[in-house]
Amino acid sequence: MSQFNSVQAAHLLRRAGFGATPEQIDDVLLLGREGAVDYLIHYEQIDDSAMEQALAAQNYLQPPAGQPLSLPAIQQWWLFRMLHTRRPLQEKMTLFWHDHFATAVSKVVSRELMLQQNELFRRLALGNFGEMLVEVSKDPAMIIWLDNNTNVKGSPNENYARELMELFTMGINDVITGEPNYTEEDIHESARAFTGWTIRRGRFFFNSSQHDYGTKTFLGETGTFNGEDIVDILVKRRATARFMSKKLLEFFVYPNPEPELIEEVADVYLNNQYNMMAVVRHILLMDAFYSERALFANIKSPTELVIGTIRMLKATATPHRVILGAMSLMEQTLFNPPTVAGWDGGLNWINTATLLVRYNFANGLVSSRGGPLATFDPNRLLEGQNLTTAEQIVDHFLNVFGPLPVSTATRQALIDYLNSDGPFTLNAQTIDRQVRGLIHLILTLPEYQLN
Amino acid sequence: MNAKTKPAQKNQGLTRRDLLKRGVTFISLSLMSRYMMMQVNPSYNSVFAQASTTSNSNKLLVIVQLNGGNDGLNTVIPYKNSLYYEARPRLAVADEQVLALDENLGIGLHPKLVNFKKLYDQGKLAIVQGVGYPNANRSHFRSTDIWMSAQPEKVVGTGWIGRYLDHSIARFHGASFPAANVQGTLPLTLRGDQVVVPSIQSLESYQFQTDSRYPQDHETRVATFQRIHSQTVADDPYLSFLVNSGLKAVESAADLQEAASKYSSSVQYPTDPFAQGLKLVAQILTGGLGTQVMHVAIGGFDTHANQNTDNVNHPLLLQYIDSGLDAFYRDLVEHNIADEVLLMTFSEFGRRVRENGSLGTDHGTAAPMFILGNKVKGGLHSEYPSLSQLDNNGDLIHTVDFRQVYATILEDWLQTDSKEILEGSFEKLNFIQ
Repeated sequence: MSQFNSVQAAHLLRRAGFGATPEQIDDVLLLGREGAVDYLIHYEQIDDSAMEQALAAQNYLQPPAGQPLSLPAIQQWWLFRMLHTRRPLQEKMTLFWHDHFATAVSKVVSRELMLQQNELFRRLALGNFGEMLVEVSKDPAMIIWLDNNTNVKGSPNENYARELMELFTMGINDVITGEPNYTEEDIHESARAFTGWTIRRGRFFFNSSQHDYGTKTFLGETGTFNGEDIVDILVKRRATARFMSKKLLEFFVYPNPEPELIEEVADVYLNNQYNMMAVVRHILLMDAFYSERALFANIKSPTELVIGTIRMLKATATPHRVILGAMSLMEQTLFNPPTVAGWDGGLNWINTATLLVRYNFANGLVSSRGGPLATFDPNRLLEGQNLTTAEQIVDHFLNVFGPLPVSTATRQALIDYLNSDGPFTLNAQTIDRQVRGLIHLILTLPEYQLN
Repeated sequence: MNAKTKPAQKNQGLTRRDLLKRGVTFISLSLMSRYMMMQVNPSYNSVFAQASTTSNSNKLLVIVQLNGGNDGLNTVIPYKNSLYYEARPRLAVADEQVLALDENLGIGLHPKLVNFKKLYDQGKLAIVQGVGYPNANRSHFRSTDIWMSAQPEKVVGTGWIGRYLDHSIARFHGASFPAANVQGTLPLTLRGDQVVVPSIQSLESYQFQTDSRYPQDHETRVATFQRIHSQTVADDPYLSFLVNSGLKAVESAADLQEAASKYSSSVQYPTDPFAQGLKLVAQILTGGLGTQVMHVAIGGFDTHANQNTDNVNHPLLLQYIDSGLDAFYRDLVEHNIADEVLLMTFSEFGRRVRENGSLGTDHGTAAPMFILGNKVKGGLHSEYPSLSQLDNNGDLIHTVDFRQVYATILEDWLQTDSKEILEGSFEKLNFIQ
């Protein structure tokens, strides 16, 4: 049986979700590595109706009379799900697909269509990739975003066909061999197959009069292909298997995964008929996933930071507009990625201004003693603990928010902080003052910005 | 014309991300800690001092965004044109109220723009008329992106100033803020591949905040933060970048606070948020932070209904920009930098010529831009768009491309070749001395 300790369980819950409390970590620890992964993967078996009811009661999707559905409303709707769901992997995969098939309200404009696309990503979060590609190709928001509504017989618009190969399936070059995956001619030909795939009254509409029924030659195959045929050809390619495997490994495990890992996951993808549940399950069970190299190997996206921090603080918070504003200032506005390539991520999240927003967002939460933003009570993180010394308290909170692997010097600086007014004792006043301060400092650690 | 959606950086050579992938630790200049610079080069402080007084660093640019689509027709008004009054029976500004600029052409300013009129008469204000671009997009978001990226035909991730900063990276050696946005999220205009520009919400927010209940603890908490970051020796590239950026964040915040504390002025800015944003711009520009380009926005121009009467209405917005820019200009004069600053306004589009049924105006196309400063050639530039020959939507046909304005600013003010930045040659205008 594979080793599974609390550090690994916390890592699993950060990557396959948005972070967890010590109690939640203890719960999955009891399941063992495989049991924990299966619990997360088979989320359809988890009753999430309490969240659904609480979400419905928020009325995010019912704008005031006469007003259109707003961008903040659909952002709040999604963030509420992330905050309160018992199916974190489903929301995490929805976020993955939003970045993968990055579509922005800036061009689509309709919030309803953005929400509809988001529901598609959630519904097929761990479904069949071929099915996902067909549905995305027919998704009204995507059709607007990549101009397929102007892709007509005799005058093809190649935007969607190009991005379908470059960003959604294979990449320009094979991620293992570096060989080009397709030619400009393949783009022309596949664009013809998607002609007439348009929208009418906010829904997908196949306009047969604008569809090119002629013969196309695409990636060496010839036929009177339509869009479904193009997806069928793409989804089975090893180049697609490799491209998607690499992207998922980078999302879940670490940057620049080894070619052997990519090939291993690509085999799982092809042997399971492009079933994403099998692929993600395999990744979450890999030894590489639990390796030293994988721990804290990524930078928390603003979404991961915000949702994870609120969850780990056990704070009572709804997705207040202050939180939406902070996320935008951290440079992740959900439903509005900067380009079709999604968010650049990694170090691109970090600059002096975004870091100050991260630090000050943490301070805002930790200092919230009620009010519209949040209520945070440090006692909720001290329940059942028998802590007296500054050392014990620092170690406890480094554990709660990670466990974070900090240097002895950092640990000592935090201990000295608690002792700065003389030897620290825990009481109601020091909890309100120094313990809140300690938690803020932990949330500003460079290690805490890592996932 | 196919709208091409693609990240810009893929078309360029080495991006920052590529460098990182190759294991090169690249620290963009705005993140470079002065502490680190001094370690590399002990005479850094003097280098820094030189950098801020040589090359074109005394050519500062302030970009003011009028967010929502400013009604150009009711801003710079063709008050002798009967077509204007026919199209706008309820919204037109009466000719006797217009502040005339040119009696022969019949062009004047909205009556709220009294200070604009004064600055115009002093030759400090240039008005570029009829600015737009081909195949005008009437989506706020898309057209804003087009103006900010200067790329009407494809979606890119960088702005025209961001690309200017990338091209001119050596000029900003050691600057705390080569460029900055104040208030709101960072606009695409300032996004580059290499130079990272901060968005400063306010003096209060651009600092390391601590629990306001215990202000006496602030120093201890900041000191602990700095101690932790200074003593962290990281071989992991992410961790080391976070440590350096964290130190730089707190340090640049201190620089900003210091600059702001040294600032004093007899100019009383109005209390509205836009004027306060302009005050922050002045505090930064006068603070010796090496900042060359600043961006600030004022919203509310999407005047679909009751545009002359609602609480937030077009005349009030014009009053805000008029009084705000007047205070800002007087402040520049007081600080002796009015020769060094060029200010330009832009909006994502103008509005439809014909008023709608809700006492408002819908999304349109071309609109005027204002250019303010001691070094402008004041007066009217370009042609007022025709009110008789409109496009199929009933919108103005632009008489000058906004990229011509950008090319003029890049070439004649920032002294940079504009072709690469704008991906093309655009004929310059004549609004800079």
